Amino acid sequence: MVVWVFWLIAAGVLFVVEMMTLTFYLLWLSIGALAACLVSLLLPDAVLLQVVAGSLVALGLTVFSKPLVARFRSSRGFQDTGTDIVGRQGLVVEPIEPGRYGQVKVGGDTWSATSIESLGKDEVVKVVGRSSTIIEVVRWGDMY
Amino acid sequence: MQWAIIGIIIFVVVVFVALTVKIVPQQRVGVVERLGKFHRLLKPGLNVLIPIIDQVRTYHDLRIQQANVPPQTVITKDNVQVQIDTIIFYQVVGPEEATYGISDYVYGVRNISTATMRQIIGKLELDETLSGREKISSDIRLALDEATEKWGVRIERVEVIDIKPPLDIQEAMDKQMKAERSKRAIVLEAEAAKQDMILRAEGDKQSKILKAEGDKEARIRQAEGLRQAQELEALGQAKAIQAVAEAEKSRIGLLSSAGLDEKVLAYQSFDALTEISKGAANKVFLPTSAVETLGTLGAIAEVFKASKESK
Repeated sequence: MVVWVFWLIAAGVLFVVEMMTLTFYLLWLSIGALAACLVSLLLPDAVLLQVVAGSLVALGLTVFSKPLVARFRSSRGFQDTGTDIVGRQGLVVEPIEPGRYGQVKVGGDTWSATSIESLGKDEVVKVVGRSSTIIEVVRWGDMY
Repeated sequence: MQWAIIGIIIFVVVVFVALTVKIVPQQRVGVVERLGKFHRLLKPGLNVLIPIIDQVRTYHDLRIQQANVPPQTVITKDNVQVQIDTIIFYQVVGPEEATYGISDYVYGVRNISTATMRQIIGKLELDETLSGREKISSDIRLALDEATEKWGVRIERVEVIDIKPPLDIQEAMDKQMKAERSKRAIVLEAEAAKQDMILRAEGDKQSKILKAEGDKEARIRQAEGLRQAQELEALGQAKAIQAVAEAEKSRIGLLSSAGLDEKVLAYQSFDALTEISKGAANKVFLPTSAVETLGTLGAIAEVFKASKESK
């Protein structure tokens, strides 16, 4: 059997697997195999050369996938309402004193909160920052 | 020899490409270390790494996760052992801290919530633990947030699924509940009876008072009526007497003015006789003198006639 058929089969299989799994690097390998196939059509005997050509194409595509990534970045994605809370309004549930944590309810979730001023119960606050689990709040209307 | 080289080249290229291109699904995040030090986070989407230099240390799932805490025996303030069953919802909010701040945050989250729960329940009495789940949850959250701040894990909520007191205590609680209910029932019954009696007595009293009052009024009115009637009667009689007297007086006056004193007397006696004859006794004996008188009466009649003719 001729060599280029192997390359074509390899390219096809890789492509199908890529479509199933969506890992992207298989696509580059598949295109590399296709390049090797083209080389084998011209030089059927130089197998090593075909391999090197295919590898180079795959590697090149991999390196150039960086600008491609930049283009794909713009897709919308998912906003986690739970953790994306800076700038939102909250209500003090447990009073906050400087140096001690209070609790603030933001959109149904209760967060432990700190503040530079002391805030009483039922005061409306604005979330200005979040470390991992503690949020920082100011009185609503104090800071814009 | 040639095939070995081909095999090695293909293997290296496959590994190289596989290490370079990374697709991270939504709500997952990878932690990338460059030569062993934290470099950046892999955001969802297509990512390109430099093989060998960059390495993905671990992936974190950013969704809210649940961890069941196996039933724990906790001792309350009044020394009752209760079995408490909780479920923890947590979320990784700081992938860096979750990687470097703690070795196994799932285990850590479980342990810290159990420990905190023990501490909080230990401050409460049994009755408070049964009714104050809200407070337990809130207290646990406050304590946990302080502890897990460095872990990058936010404990969303700790829900107490079940609090099971020991069997004998449960029985005692049942008994207490029953006793309390029956007590309430008895009290209510007694109260109802009391109210019933009071209401009846009050009604009785009121009815009696009303009756007496009615009687009194009726009698007063009656007496008043009687008085008025008597007064009126007396007044009428007095008037009648007065009128009669007056009439008599005027009659006498008229008679005397007519100068008929003797004749009047005679006329009157005659009148009296007719009155007597109308009496109940049928037989009337008239004395002879009376007949004579009748004779004179005839004379009188003549006199009258004569006086009439003379007029």
